[in-house]
Amino acid sequence: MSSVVIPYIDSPRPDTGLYNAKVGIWLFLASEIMLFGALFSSYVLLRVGAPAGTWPVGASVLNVPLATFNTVLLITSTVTMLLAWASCKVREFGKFRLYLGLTVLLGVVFLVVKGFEYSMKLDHHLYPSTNTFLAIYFTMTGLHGLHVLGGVVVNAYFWGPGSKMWHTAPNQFTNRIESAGLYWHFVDMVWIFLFPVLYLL
Amino acid sequence: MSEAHHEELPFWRKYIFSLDHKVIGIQYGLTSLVFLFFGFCLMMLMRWQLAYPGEPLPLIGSWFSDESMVGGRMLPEFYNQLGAMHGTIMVFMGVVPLAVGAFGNYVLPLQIGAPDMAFPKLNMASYWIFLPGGLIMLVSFFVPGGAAQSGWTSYSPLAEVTVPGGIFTGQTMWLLGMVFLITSSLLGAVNFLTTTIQLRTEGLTWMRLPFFVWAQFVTSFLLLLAFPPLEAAGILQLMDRLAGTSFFLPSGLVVSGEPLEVAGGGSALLWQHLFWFLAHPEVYVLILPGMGIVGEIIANNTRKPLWGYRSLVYSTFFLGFMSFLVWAHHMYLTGMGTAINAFFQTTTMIISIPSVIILSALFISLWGGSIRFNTPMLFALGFLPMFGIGGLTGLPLGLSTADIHLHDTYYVIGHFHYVVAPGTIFALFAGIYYWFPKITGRRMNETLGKIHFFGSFVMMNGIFLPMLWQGLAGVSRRLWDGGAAYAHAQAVLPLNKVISYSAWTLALFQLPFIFNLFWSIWKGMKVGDNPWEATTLEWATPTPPPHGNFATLPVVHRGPYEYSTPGRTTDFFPQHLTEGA
Amino acid sequence: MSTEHAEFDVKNHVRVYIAVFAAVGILTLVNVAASYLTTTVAPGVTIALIIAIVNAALVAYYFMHLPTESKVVHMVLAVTAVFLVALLFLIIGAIADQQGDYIQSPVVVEEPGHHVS
Repeated sequence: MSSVVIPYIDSPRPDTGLYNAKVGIWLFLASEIMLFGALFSSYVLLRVGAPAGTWPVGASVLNVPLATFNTVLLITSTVTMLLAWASCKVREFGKFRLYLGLTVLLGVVFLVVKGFEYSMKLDHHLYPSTNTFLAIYFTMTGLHGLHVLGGVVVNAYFWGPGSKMWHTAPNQFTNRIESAGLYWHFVDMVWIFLFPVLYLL
Repeated sequence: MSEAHHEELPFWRKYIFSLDHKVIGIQYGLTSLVFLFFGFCLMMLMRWQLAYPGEPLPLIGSWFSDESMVGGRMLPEFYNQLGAMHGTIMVFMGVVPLAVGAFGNYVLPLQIGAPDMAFPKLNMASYWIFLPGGLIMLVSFFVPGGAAQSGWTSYSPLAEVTVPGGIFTGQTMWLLGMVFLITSSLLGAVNFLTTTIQLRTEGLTWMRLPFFVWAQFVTSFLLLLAFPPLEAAGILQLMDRLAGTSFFLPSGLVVSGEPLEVAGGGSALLWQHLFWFLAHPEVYVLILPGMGIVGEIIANNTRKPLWGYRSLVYSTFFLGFMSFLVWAHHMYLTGMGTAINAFFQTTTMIISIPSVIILSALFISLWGGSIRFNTPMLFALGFLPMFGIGGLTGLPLGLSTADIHLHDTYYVIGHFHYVVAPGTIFALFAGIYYWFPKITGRRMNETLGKIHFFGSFVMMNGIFLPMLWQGLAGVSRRLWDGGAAYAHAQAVLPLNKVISYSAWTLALFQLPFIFNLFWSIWKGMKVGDNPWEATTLEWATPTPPPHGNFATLPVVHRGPYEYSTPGRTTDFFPQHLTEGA
Repeated sequence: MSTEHAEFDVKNHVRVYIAVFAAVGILTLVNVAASYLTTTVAPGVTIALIIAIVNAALVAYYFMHLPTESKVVHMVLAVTAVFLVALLFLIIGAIADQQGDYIQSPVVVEEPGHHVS
């Protein structure tokens, strides 16, 4: 369709104080809270209901040092994402690309480590079907991993072809980075809960 | 804001992969009507089996494979497939896409004075995720073992042990289809909410919004926050079916004499909790847009404002909020303790209050009105007592003690169909007749419309009233023979024929509608931009509204239902006109 | 939040970000250490969850700029929080109040005429 001009993409609407993408991303994050919340509820139900002694301690099955390393990676990536946005705000394109590039890189490394973790499990004949703990472990970290992958793809797009918008519409571009950043922080927050619940309990 | 420039787009970008909310709305509308028709046909097949259990289906019995019908005689497995898919298709591929995807998409931006949705590309994506989801559901009939056959509720363990296998099994395809449909809904909800929050035109404050917009707004919140747990449950059931996990499979399960080879340790009730957490708000998703449509049409055809606008708005919010807290009234018989039962019973009783307020406000709005009995108004009027019956019959179900007798009987089927069929679907018909002139510039034929209405009204009652009776007698739902094998059902068994003939006659009364819909596009009486003399913004556009909707975005000066305002020469005062007009 | 870049005080913001980063990192390592030291379930769960909540709060407060966000966002999140709590606690409540064993109930193949409670 020929261009219909939608208001409040670039600058915020006065009475709400928000631009459209920010409303959209927060609404989406609300639904994601319910998605992961339902999975956490399922975890609680299955664990609390499990007969005594049948639920393994996380550390006995899972690789805590590797996951701790991964956690630190993800936290670092969330800071670099934030710094990427801050660079947009002060219009420093070079720094923006550096920080966003680091974010993408850290995300990829997280996924590689995760893949390595999974393959180690499978090599030891530890499958989702082996017991309910492993089932919920694979499912929740798998779904989280898919979300990380989605974020990596979007961030890579903004680092690459999407960054052209910097020159044509810098405000709108900054808003997009902010929205992508909010998503990335959320993915980090899910891991902040997932890591202790699965690995440390 | 006017369009930047006007290049002619190629056909596929103008009509197939359009970014225009009106085109997308029509896509949703036509697709969902086709799915509704398909779901209706499934029901008509079921009604043959229920009226004449074990008898060969005349004329078309030979069309079905031996997996479904042997010599034209329906197998129980096929009956169950028809039942499960009828429910799924009507709810997720018929009513909601029509009520929200079609009406919401087309009318909402117009009513708030916006040039389009906040995220047009996301809108297009929503439709193109919905369509494959629906097609997966339809195709599932043709895989070995047939379509999903464990009810639209897909309870574990039955749904998991029935026709196990890889991706191309009915239940697995149901789950995959649901993932697509849920994703489409979530993206749509984000779009609707952002659009309403951000793109209301100047002067259109929250309390000047048409009730239709409020209804869509709360509906979108329900979709946004209630669907994800079902998505989670769907993922878990997919893992059970495909990866051998036991999220919903208890230990020691024995199926057909063989112990199930799984780790166990799961909980069948977990599925029910997650499913009903969505499915209860879902029923309010089914009804709210219909209430919104009926509100618009009643105000317009009584030539007076809706009574109790604020009550309507606050009740709609309260209804939406409470809908998240009542879900386990679908689980009264699962062994929950009295404390939890009492909690859900209390919230369920409370939620009837806003429903009653909304219905009452709509009824009272008729008082003193100068009523015009055109076809949209007839359907809107029919909605009111039908929704009333549906709501009232819900009360015994909401009381856990009475529910012991009524749970999973035909009483339940009668109850919810009253709300959805002569309830919501009547409201949707009303909406089609009402907004047809804005989309096409022509009116649908009134005579055919009246035949459609009166015939449908009588037949709907012919179908669902006897079901209440059968349920009270104790006839269970989802019985392939309609209760024929049970002594307690014998007295009410003849009602099966009454219901079936009413259903088939109902089908006949849809023919004038289908003909009318298409014939009127080319041959309907031509009308102007505002044939109903309505006050809301969608009638302030040219017909059909162009790309971008408004040459200049309107400014709103008053509420949505300024009909019969004293001191004016006309009996309606559109929202966007300035004082002097 | 306005997007005027002239007003964005980068240096101060970045200092805060780095400080919070350090805090979250340290708390994570504390959490891991605590898990090795606690042997009983209840204290273990409590510590792990408290640290997780603090970490999440720091991310939400400083990285997602939640306090300075618009009322619309706050309302959406408040409503979501209510429903999340409802989901979690009502399911747990239903289990707690359940008649009979919740998970370990093997389905026994019935002889016709016998009632298995």
